[in-house]
Amino acid sequence: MIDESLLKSNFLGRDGFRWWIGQIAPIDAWKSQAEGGGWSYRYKVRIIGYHPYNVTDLSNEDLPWAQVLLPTTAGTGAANCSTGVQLQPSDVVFGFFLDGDNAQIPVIMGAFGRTSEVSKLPYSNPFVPFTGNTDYIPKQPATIKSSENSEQTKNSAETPPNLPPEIAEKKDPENPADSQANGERITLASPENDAILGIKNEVKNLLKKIRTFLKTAQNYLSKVSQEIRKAADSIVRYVNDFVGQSFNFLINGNGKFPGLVGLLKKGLDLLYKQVYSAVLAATANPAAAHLAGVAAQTAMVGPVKLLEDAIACVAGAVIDSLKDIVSDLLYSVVENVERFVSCAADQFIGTLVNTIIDTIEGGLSTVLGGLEKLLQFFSDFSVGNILRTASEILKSSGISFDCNQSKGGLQGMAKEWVVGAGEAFVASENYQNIMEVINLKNVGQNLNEIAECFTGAIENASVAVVNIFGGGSAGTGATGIPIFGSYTQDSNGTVRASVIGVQVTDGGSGYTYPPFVEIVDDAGQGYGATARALINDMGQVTSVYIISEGENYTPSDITEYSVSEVIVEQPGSGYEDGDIVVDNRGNEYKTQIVNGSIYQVEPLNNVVQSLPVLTVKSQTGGGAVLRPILSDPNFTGEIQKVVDCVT
Amino acid sequence: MPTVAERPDQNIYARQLMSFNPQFRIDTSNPAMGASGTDVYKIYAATQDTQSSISLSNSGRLSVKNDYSIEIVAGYKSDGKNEDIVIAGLSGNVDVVSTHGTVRIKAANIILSADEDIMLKAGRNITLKSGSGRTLIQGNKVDVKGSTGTLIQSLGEDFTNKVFSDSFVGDDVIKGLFGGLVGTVIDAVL
Repeated sequence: MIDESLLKSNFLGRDGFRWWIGQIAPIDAWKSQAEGGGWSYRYKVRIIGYHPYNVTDLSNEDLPWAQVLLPTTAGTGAANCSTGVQLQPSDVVFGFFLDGDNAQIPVIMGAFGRTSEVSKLPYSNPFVPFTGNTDYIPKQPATIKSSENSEQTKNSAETPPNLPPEIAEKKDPENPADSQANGERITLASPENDAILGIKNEVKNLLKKIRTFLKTAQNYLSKVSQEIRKAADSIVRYVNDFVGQSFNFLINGNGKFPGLVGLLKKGLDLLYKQVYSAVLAATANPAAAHLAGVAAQTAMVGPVKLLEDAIACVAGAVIDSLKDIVSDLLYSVVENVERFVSCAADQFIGTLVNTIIDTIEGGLSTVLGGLEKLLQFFSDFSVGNILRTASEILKSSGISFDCNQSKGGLQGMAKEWVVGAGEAFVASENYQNIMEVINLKNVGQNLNEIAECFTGAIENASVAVVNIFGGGSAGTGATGIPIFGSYTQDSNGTVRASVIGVQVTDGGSGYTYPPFVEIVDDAGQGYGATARALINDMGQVTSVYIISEGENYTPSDITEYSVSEVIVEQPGSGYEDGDIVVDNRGNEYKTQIVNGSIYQVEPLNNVVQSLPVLTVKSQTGGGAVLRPILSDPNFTGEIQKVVDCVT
Repeated sequence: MPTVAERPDQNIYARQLMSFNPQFRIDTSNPAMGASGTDVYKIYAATQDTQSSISLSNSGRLSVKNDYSIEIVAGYKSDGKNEDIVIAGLSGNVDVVSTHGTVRIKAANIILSADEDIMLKAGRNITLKSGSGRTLIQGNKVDVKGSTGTLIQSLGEDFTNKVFSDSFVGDDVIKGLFGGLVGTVIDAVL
């Protein structure tokens, strides 16, 4: 003993360094520390080669406390500088003993990362891997995928993605979207009539939301009913627009229908003539006949005023009476429709407008009855029939512009925003289809019974399309088609692709700023492709470059595409002659550098199958952003390029 | 059952993750594709029933999402006339939308200032009401359109006046001086 103490320096490192590997014991063994009753960061560790493989000989509670050595970047707590230690039970840790061979004061220096193969089962025996989840850090049941590994693999510690919930669900049922609101369609304020768009979006959002409810949940029906009520309230608010337009049309008419004002004026004239003739025939006294005619017209003042008063009040009553009807329609949609495609929307809106017309007709029937003497001259007069033939009630411009009002500032704006994705293209309304439904008086409420309108789920989405929209009040006509690449297959062997470019097929005209570019399919299957358009001084779209290629799109026939142009989005600075541009396949591009900035990059016209990433190889320069533009080398369409107007 | 096919050759190497527990993480350069492209970073937090995130996608959009409310409070110690909160769109539009509720703005004074047009558009009613002061509508050209209401009636542009504009019925009758009584008598005669 004396010899030994003489040989030992009792100074760390001078007597040798005792390394060890061990496992952090279950949290029950160091509960007091976990509950804040200890000091520093300490863990009970079972150390290989020092401690037994069973708890009979040495219980977890009797294991030594190990302190944690912090990295220099973590802070010790001094001056408010600190970082929490993230070690968990079952972690395999590595360290040394502060007391050398005595092995009673272990220090943890680091830990081995867990792989997906590590057991996630509860604790069983010493040194057998087990889950790190405890009562103190339980699994998060719904909002994040439980993960217990730290690897450089695709499936390690997945983070909820910015995807619509239904896509995230298909991608990985255990990894939910980062927000259930993703994919929700928001109707933006617009000077134009947005009632139809608003109603469509309301129904789409309702269907999307209900799909996320667990059908087996106890409160499923009440949640569905709550959402339907909420959507119905919103739709009824949108209906205000239709009702207002209906009354406006009914009163003022259009080129074909003179409106109630014109009709009743004519009725007053005919009434006067009718009474005048009758009294003249009876009395042969024109003066008396005239007075009688005037009196007959005067008698109509009261009923006309009643109608005027009704106009002010019936509109509100019509709207208030629609809530139950809209709820019934929504129940029908929820039960029968998987996708609220345009034909289903037309039928829904047509049915809704038909109901509004019936309600208006009913609401005005009493007061119009008082005007029978004026309306007797128009045998076919019917509020319902008149409104059913007037598409004005659907397509009003919302607000009329005066001669000196510039529409520019209020037009060409996005009308719809999709949460997580951005501005969405809204196609022009086809009022004709809705009017056809309105004219079908006996249209049923079961939307799936309407022929030629498939609203079920579809197996494979259509080939993605490119929508180019916005870009100023006069911008119109630009079109493009997607260029697919990065092909892959889903688990069923179906070919899917990313969008690596957009072939502009028509540059359009009138664009005052670059329009929005949207790449979509008919089922929302593909996601993540984003692109930007470039325009020239003549207001034409010259090219579209890809910001993000997305994935999971149904591709068109596989064709070869090449880099036809390189856009220098940012020229950067500090470059030197001899610096070259290369892509991620190792291809070199001829580069022109002027005053240290990238001036021009010549395309190679080489065939590509994925989106090339271009970088400048330079020791001195930086900051250049280069965008490759792909196109079909066989494309024969004419795209207007920048024209030098000076010469 | 259609499945999702992720694109090949994803850059896992560039991803840096700090996951503090199942409720909070910071994820950077995650190659998983989202609806606006991949994320440059995402700060994600969750409770049992709430998800919350701040993320920047490669398309350039910074996104702040929360399942319940978001509170932005400033100015507790500011002087009264300082700008406590500024929300500015430097090129495009600023959209404020409440899809099912009401957009409420309350202040000691409210200035709606547009260099060009201000458009107030309502599906149902618009109410302008001043308290102890006045309501002023001023412009080079002031138009009023409608079918009924005191303003329209005072201009003689109401529905009844328009209907009777070419008749032999006088304005006084329309304004109700004789209408009811005369109407009843004449109706009986007819």
